Amino acid sequence: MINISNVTLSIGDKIVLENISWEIVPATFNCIVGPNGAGKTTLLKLLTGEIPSANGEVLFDNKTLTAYKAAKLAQKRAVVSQFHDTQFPFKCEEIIEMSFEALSTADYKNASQHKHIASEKMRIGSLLPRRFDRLSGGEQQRVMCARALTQLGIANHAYQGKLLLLDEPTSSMDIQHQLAFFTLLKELCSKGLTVVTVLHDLDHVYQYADQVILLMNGKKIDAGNAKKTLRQENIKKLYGINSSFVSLASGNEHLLVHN
Amino acid sequence: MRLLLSPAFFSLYIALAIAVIASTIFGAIPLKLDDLFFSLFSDNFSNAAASSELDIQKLVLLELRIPRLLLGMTVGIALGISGACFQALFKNPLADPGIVGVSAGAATGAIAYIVLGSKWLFNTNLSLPITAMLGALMATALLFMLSQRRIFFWRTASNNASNGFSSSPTMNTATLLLAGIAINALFNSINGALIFFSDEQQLRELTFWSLGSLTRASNQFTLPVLLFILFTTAINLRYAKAINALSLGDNHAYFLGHNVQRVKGGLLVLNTCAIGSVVALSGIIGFVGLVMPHIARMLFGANNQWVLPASGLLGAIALLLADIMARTIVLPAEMPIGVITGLIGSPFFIWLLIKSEQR
Repeated sequence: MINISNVTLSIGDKIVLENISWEIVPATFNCIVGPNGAGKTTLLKLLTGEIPSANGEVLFDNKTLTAYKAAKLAQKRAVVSQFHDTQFPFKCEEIIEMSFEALSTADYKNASQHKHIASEKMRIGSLLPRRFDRLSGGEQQRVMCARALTQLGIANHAYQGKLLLLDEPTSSMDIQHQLAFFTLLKELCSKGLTVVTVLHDLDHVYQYADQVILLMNGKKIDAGNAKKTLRQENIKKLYGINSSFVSLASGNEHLLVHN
Repeated sequence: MRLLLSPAFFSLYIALAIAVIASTIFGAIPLKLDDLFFSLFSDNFSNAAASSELDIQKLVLLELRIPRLLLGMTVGIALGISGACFQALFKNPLADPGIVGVSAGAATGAIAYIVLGSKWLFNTNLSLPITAMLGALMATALLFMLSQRRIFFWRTASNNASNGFSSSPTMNTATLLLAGIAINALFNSINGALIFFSDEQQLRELTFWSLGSLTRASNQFTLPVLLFILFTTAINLRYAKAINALSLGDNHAYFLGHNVQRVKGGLLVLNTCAIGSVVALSGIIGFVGLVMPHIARMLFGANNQWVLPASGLLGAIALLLADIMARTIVLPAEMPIGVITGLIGSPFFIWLLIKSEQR
């Protein structure tokens, strides 16, 4: 689905990403992991096309992002970025309805249904008539996620070839909303959606991700299967902290970080 | 466009109709609309004295009031809609063409033509609006570069001139206002230099630009320029949805499938040209483009499908009312309309500033 090969990017004198290569397979849940300032958001912005790749290539379905028209790209991928403040008093439903313009003609027929299901899944039904700029950070994130799901045409259940890019989408959400959102993403992945997200909570990565890439100071430390890559020595290397794997009575294994 | 017929705009249309009638009646020579109405349909008035008075009234109506009405409405519509669009494109509710210096740029263009150009350049009817547009475009280009400095940064940093844009090229209020001060200062000092070289008669003409006035309504070149202004501002309404997305941020608009460079660039150029033409016709009339979009948002929310047409209608109403005040409060003389809008608009601006500090 996405091929990143030998991408190097510098801002001023600082090298933000150094010789990154990563392949993203369709219908998988992929996480970008690393400490602050590792280049996670920059890598995601390369995938969204916000930042052009100066050296190396980012291919989306074997075409560079610049070869796509914005409208064509918007039918195939949705983005939830890290910050979304607005100076204008938009209502939440107006924010979500902005994604209607992006829908393909097939998806557009069910536009209001996409909105309805997406808001149900993100549990924001009661927020729809309220002003977006007056919501809490977590509520805003849920609205933005609902907009992305609407843009992906959630009511049509046709996720093959579609991509969802998220930058710390759950950082301000309540824990129950976080878990519900990840469970939803997992379900959509099993139906063909490809998800790439920057995520901080290592246990969430361990629980939900299929593939991870570990970044530190702009360099790729490791990448691959999430369960195999999130090893104690990698976590120590990234964050300088210890970690343990704890099995619950249910048989689920969790990743616990500690001093 | 269909929204223009929506019942939500009904009260605005009524207000506009009242403003139109009031603006036809009031003035140095008050018009008696009922008599005029009958006289337009029947030429055979027996009383000669009454008929000559009616002739004067007819003349005032056709040669003064109606052209002035059309100019006032067009200028109001353009200032309202362009103001709303500028605010959305710069993601800042204080980005009014006057405050950020675009109007000053237009005035520089116009003044340069009057002082220097009329001697050297082709002296056509449209030279003045065109030079004003060029001046306005220079100011917008300057503002745009200042607001997008981070794009420029990315491009130089990665030696890549392709279509990248940074995630949040928003300008905070302080930077925007400082940029406005800088651009205004630049163009005002050019204006000062030009005025230094002007002669007596030009000088009188130049004071017109700094204060704004609708007295040039009857000039022969006015009508085509009015049509041009209405056409360019109407295009904004077609792009209301893209303007919505752009007001959240260039990156959001791009994620949602809008061609940011083309739409944003096109709208900036169009609205700047509209502002340039407005300034060429009526001088700098401040604060209408700032205040009307705010009132529109209070009435209809942030959706630009509503805000743009509502700002246009409110702008037209406000300009007609301000013009009535301008030509009646110091009879038989006339106050420049920019003085009126400035006196009413600047307290509003201060209130907005305080409000934005509290956020």
